[in-house]
Amino acid sequence: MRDRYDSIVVGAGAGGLIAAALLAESGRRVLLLERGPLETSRSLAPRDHLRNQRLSTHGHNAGPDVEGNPRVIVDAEGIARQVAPHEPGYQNNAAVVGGGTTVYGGQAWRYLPRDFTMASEYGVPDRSSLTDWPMGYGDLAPWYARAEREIGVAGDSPGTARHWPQTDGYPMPPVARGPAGAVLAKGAEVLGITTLAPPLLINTVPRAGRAACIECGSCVGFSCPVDAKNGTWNTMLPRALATGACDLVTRAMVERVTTDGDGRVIGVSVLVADAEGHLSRHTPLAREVILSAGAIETARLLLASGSGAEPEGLGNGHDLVGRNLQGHASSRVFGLFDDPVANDLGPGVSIATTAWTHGNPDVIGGGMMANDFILLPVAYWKQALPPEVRRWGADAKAHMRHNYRRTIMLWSPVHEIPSPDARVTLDPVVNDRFGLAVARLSGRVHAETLRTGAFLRDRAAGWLSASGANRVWSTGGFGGLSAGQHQAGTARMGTDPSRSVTDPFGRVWGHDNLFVCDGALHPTNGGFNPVLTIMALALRNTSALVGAAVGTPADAAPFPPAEQ
Amino acid sequence: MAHDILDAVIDRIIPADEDPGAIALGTPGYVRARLALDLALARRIETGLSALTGFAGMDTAARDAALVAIEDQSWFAELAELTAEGFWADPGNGGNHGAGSWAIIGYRHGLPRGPGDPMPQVDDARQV
Repeated sequence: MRDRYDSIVVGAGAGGLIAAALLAESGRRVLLLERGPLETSRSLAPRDHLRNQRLSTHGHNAGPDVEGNPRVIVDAEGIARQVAPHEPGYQNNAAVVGGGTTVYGGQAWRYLPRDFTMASEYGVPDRSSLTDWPMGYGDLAPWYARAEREIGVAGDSPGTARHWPQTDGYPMPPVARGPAGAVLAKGAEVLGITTLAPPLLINTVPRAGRAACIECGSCVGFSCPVDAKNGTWNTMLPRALATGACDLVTRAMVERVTTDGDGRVIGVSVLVADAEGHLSRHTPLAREVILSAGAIETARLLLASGSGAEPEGLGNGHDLVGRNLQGHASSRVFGLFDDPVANDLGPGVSIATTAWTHGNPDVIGGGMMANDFILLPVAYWKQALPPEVRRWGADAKAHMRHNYRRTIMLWSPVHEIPSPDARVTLDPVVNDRFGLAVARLSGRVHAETLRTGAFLRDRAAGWLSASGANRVWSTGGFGGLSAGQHQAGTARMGTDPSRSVTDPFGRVWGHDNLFVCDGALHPTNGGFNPVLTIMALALRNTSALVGAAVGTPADAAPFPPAEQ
Repeated sequence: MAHDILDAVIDRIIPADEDPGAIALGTPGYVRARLALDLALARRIETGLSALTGFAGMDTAARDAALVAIEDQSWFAELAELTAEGFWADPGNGGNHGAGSWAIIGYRHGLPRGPGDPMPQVDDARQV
């Protein structure tokens, strides 16, 4: 690690690796800090069905380490308790180079044009902070296209073009529909709704030197056995490193963003663990700092970096940092069919509809709906077993034997109505293994989110019934805090410095050289999986930072030579 | 831990029928490994088992009836859940020998190098 960089990027996930690559390609010297490791076959290999990012019964596979990284969660009664990263309520995403993109399912949705104007469309409900984005869909459309091309999306080009303007077509054909998709397509015809194959950040044909999906039986929650998933770690990391201008330092926990006597950002203070786990503190300087640690950790870092000029945290002069934490609260809805409908071929998600994203009676917004990724047997046991089935004995075993392959699950990412009370603060008591105050999560989803979620749960049941399900049930009720792998909202963009944390390009208000580049920016989180939007925003905002236009190779952008 | 009683209860939690049950797939080994990491739970289960008087001498119908009578007790619910997760999880967890439970329901891992399939090396990044 050098003493001085042009840019420091904190967090090597979906947003941070894109930022690092574009910054390095622009000629900057970049320090990319990641608190997790760079995984190899040895460390990320085991397909442990009880320890993965989808089912974390006894641990997980993409971090953070179960020991030494607690959070504190506050329940509806105000009771605070400490939880480990793999436990319910932690709202974990991942801590590894590539972040969640190492193990995600990779649904690659654009948000719909109306997702950007929720407050204008529906008004602002009581006790909510619902707002429009400070940009329209049209501003982001070309950057969505770049993400689809440069990271690599397989999808249904005409199906997407029916619902989204300004599409470019996907670079790969969509996943196969499979038996569940065929059944649900018939139900959709009965209901008169249109469907499309979900776009996925998965190679359906060999591309970019990597193989096509082999349709194995374990997808979301695991790294791909043939490296067919397109994440930032296997697309943007090679680009960043190929410049020779990007230093990746792993096992590097940023303590705080450092500032000078005037409160101007000058770098970071970071604790780096060596191979034996011994920590050393470094304080590299930089002309600009980009925070891409995920909505919860980015907020925590801003709050932990208070200066004389901003004692309550950087960018927090209006008490907005950490508020409006949101994700995609949702139920799982299952239908049981007479004949086998689920095969054992992944990825599993194969059909979706946008029919209930907007214009729904008596509820605000809505969400996309799709069948789910292939469900591991133990995940079926944990998450899908109908509530009335006795969880032991001959009947439970018979249920698994008869119904495992006759069950279809539908899921919908509810477009949440943000609540300022759902928030990240610094816990006053609990520290992590580095002695840093951990994130304290409090509040709960807005009542309107629950109403929209119930509406979508009923629509899912209706779609399954119309498709021929002989019985339908749901599990996974919600009502507490929502964030998790789709976490967003804690450093929202806006045009008014008193009502947002950053400007419309992710620059923290009051600073000329501090940026946020992750889901924290999302004023609302869409009725869709958010990762393609995180990627598109990272491409757009970093290109603006380096002065590159849409579609211009960043390395051709004019910019002064890097400081050495 | 009373091995015989523990095995006898696990045998009824996932019984053999036309397909193998928890005993045949080695699930008690998984349960014991978990309990070795959670001694408080192990003690509660041992206490619960010791209250199942005469269990060893019962036929299967009587054993099931005895378990129905105590199925709402938390130690039993937790034992049943440990048994099920070992039985349905990957063989690497030790409670699903030969992936026998997957054959029952028609799940295939589809991985070229077995259920613990490694991923490709991604270790060419420059460390500093």
